[in-house]
Amino acid sequence: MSLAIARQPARQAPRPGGLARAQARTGLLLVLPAMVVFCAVILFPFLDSLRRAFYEDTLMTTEPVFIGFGNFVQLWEDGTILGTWIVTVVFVVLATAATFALGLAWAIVLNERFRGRTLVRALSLLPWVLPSTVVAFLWAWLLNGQYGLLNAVLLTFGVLDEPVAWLATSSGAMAGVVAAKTWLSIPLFSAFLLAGLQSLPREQVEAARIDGAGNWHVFRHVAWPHLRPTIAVLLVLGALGNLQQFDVIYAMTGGGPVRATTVMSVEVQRQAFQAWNLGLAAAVGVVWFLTIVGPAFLRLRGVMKEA
Amino acid sequence: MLDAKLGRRALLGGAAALAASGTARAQGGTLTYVGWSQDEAASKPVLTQAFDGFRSANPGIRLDVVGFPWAQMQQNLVLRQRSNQPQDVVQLAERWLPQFARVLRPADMREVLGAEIAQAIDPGLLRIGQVGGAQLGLPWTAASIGMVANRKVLADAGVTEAPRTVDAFADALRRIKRSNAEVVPYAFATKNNLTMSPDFQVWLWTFGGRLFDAEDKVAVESDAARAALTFLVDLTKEGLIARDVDRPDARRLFGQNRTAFYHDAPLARGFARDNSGQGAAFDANVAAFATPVLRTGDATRSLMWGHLLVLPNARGARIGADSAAAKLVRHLAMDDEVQLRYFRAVGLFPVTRSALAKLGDDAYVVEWARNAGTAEMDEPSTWPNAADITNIVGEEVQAALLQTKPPAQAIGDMANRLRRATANQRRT
Amino acid sequence: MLDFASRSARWVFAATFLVLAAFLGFPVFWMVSTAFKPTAEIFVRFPTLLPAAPTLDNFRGVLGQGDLPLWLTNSLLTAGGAALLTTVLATLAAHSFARFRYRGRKPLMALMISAQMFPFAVLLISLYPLLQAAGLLDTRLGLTIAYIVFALPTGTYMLFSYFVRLPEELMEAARIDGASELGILLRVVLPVSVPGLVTVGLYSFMWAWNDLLYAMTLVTSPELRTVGPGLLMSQLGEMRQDWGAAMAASLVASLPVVIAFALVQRWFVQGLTAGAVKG
Repeated sequence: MSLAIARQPARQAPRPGGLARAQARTGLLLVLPAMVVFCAVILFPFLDSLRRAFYEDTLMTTEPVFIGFGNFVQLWEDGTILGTWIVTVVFVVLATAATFALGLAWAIVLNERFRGRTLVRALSLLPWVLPSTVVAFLWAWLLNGQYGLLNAVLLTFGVLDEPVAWLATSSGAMAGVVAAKTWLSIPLFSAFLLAGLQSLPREQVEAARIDGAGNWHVFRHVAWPHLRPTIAVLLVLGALGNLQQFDVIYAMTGGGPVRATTVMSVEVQRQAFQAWNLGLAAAVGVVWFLTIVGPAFLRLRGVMKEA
Repeated sequence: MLDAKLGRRALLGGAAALAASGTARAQGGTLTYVGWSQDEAASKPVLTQAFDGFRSANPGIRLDVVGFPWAQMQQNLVLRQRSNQPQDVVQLAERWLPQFARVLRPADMREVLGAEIAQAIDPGLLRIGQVGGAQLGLPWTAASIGMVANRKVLADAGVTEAPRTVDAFADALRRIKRSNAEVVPYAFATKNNLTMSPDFQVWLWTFGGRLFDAEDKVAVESDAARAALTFLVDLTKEGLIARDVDRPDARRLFGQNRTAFYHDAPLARGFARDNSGQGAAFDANVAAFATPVLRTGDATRSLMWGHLLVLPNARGARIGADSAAAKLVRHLAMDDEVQLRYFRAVGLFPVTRSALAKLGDDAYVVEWARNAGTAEMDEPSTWPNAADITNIVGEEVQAALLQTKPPAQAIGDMANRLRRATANQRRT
Repeated sequence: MLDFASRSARWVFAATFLVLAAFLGFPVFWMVSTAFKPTAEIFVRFPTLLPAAPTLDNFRGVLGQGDLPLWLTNSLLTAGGAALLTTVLATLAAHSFARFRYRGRKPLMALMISAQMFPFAVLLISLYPLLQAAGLLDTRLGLTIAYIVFALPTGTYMLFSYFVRLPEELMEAARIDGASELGILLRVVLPVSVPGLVTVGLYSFMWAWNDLLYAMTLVTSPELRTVGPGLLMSQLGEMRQDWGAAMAASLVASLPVVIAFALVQRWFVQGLTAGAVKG
């Protein structure tokens, strides 16, 4: 391919008029189906929810009433939103970081050849496939104070004198839901990272080996730079997924003890489907949206630039 | 963006048109029932049988049975109601009625079924379906969240007589703890707001306190409330109440003879049969237990509990005694045969006098029914924002039990938060 | 990638493998063990690793009831349909974003990604009347379409970042040979993008497969119910919580997906080695 064609014409100046217009038309045509669906099932509900945040819309109001920033004022006056916000950030950061670290280690393990690798790869998908409510319960059970396995083991080996209710303290409950969520999403993370590792050209590794590089050096200076784009995407996806996480937390701790694991999604569910305050629920959603949109775009900036 | 232009109003307008055709269909013979019990594995066979029985007795009526999980029932009822989906007969928990009375605007059962109701069902039981003097729900099964005692655990600890007063109760708990450290003497709920709030209210009432007074003002900032919470906190400090216990945990502990007391609906005996793995043989260990009282002679406290059948009627149409909906309600809640079969299958108490009379030789049922005679309505549920109030009560009780704040402060915070939560609300 | 010449490297590898395998595997093992236990053995203070009196009752109960295959079919249909739809739509959109220039392209991308950050539970409140107006409430198609919410934006974004890295020469060569834009997408871009497509499909499938909230709300007929809500309603309701049966049902329901993944994975690895993808 010695033709004098630029590598990335997309970055070039627009081509002569007709061609550019034809190109734009094809591009729009391709994006159209996705856009139609996107507008119907995502954008419309999204805008509708944004609007609702400025209305009083509860079970008792027959017609939503515009109240400006009333819902936001109420959130602030209730005094719980700050706590919820902090709990959310702590959960998302811990769960994403733990999943990333363990998922990367697991991907490196699965990238090596060993007997039964295919089976192990398939089986390690299980946490992701099992119904999440059952998984949440399973973890709550393992950590239960009265008949949990963790206590049984620790009591048997004399580490504990009497059973501990692990999920009854703020930090214990947070650690518990982080562990369960980490367990659940390791398959996703390691599948992504494994795909990244597999696309690493063998010659690059071999070249580094010839230069006398050890395992750490190969990982740090060959694999890591290669994985970097994957990691950027993965961290954003992971953080978004953890932000949307509801089932596990709700089933494991219900947001407690007190409000120690009440993340935004639990609060939204409470406001929307227990308290029937749809306007307030939407307002919580807006606060959450504003929190995440900045950091997410900052992280994605690199990839967006390529556009 | 063409879809974004569609306002919700327009959508709901379209929905209303759709629903209007749905109503027409209902008049043409389709009856929509919405509930949860018919989908739960335990009650599925018996209720399937009950619905099939109704279908074969009424070949002219097309019965459509719609189910949601218990925990998602309310949200789905609201969504269905808002979008005018048909729902002719609805199963409700008694606690949901005050809120849903506003949403579903149910027909008064006395106007639908007439004097029949008062003849068939005891007025004490009918209370659980009443809001503002109207009989908006017909009890399908009715009893209380009362207490159960495990006879074996009590006997093993040498407690021969069921404690009747609060002090005797605390002493019994201590003896049980001394006799067997692996037993949680009292499995008070310490985990879930939905169960902590009722369990706490029972003690609050026992000590003479209320969450709200007769004028709907917050009344919880009282010596009685502080004494009640302090009592529970002290039991926790002594290790007589365990942390991280919810209803399902309590039921398992009970079935394994690892707790002496806990609060539950009459289904407790069925849970014990299952969890013990011994079936009906375990019944000998299960006793209905009257919540202890402060002074001998006080009435024992418990919470009203039951399932209701409700006829949503937002348009205010006249529902006759011979309508399809009335027939279904009568078949489920007032047919002794159906009621007793339901009781035998899952242990839910029947509501009709005649069906209850046939259970006169079951001490558990008789005892339970007697204790339930003084049961009271869950206080938060009469507020439109019941879930908020339940969460506030649960959270403050839990904070005290986990000793993150002293009981007096928890009660003070509870009162402040309740005042804020009820400031702009009106009670049903 | 790693070199196991040194003993310490082997030790570190083995230790990492064992620790992670135990963390990932133990809960699964516990589920399997529990599924074979009679109720009385399950919630005891000192549970045994293996059932003392193994029983097939839980499986018999779950399979005998006859609902599980139905739920499984519904789950596979809706999640599979959502995965397919999402992948097709995302491929078209991502190709457009990656290869064409037109006004509004960047704002469109930004909009798609932003909408993904709004709580799904809140979106549901507006989605419900929409699906109802379209007559899609309580249909498999409606649920499938709703599931697009979960992964279309991220899927588009994932494929975009994949496509944008493909060398332009590939496409120019085809263009010179007179291929149409659709032909280029089908015959040039897709064959080298199999891993990306599989990943997006899998991602979308898993979100839908694990969903509880949408399935519970948007579908009400018993014959359309999916695994999550089905299990929740029948085994973990107000009256009875039968965890032995819930474990058994979860395992039975998950098996087809694990098998499918094992098959896809082989293909996935082939796609990787066959494709001329150089990062």
